[in-house]
Amino acid sequence: MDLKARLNEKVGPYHEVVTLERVLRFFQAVTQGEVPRAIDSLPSELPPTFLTVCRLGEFELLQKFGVSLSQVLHGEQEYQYYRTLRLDTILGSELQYETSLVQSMEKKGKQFVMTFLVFETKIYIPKKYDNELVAQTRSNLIVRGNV
Amino acid sequence: MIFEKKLLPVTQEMLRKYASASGDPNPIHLDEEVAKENGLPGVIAHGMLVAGWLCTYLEEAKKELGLLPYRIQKFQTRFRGMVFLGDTVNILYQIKSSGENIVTLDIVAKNQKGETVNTGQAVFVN
Repeated sequence: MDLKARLNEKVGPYHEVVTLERVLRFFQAVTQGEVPRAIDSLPSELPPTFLTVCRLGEFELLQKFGVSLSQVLHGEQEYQYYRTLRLDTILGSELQYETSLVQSMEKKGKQFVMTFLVFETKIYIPKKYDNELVAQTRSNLIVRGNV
Repeated sequence: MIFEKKLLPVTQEMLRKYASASGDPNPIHLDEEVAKENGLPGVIAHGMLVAGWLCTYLEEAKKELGLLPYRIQKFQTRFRGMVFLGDTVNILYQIKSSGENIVTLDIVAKNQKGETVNTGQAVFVN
């Protein structure tokens, strides 16, 4: 499949609620040793990579392109934060996001054809910050095998 | 000045917890058979779990490097090598540049063999 024809294809909006339970579980998963167990043991800001929960758009686009997740490796990841995501401000809020395919490139490797895909996700918190973009993520994924 | 953080060996339990907390269902992180069917030597850690560790210990790095009042503006990481069960990851944080109200940290993560598994940068503003 020529994914260049699918450039700028967009999916969403999706919604994720930032619950205390979810934030705690995420902190516990990315912390080794003594893990936070309650709100007063958490840092004041959302963990920077918590926004990885906003990947449903990537998964949906991969499925639309006929890519199995088990073919996918992560090449690079970037987060740009336009707002400080303080827990006391955003706990209970709903994140809204949309994802689009912004780059696609194919390379022939020794064993596999590799397709490099770049997805961009724009994240908003409409009830707190109207239509202001609060963060943006960029995921570079490597698909091993034919797409 | 460099701040160094040594992590514990990677376990399947860590990967299971991360898959559940992040919502990443990719089976190459959880199922040995699927990983091997896809040409991998075995289960590999989620790249984003390693990225999560890099960010979690940014807080300690900020404290050690005198950057506590700063807040994160950008984080970027490149996955340069796979992290396998039993691997131990060692993270190094170093100030790359600092200007008026902005500081960039370089981040490098290596496995127990000294191979680089992640590189990255975090930009902080005050």
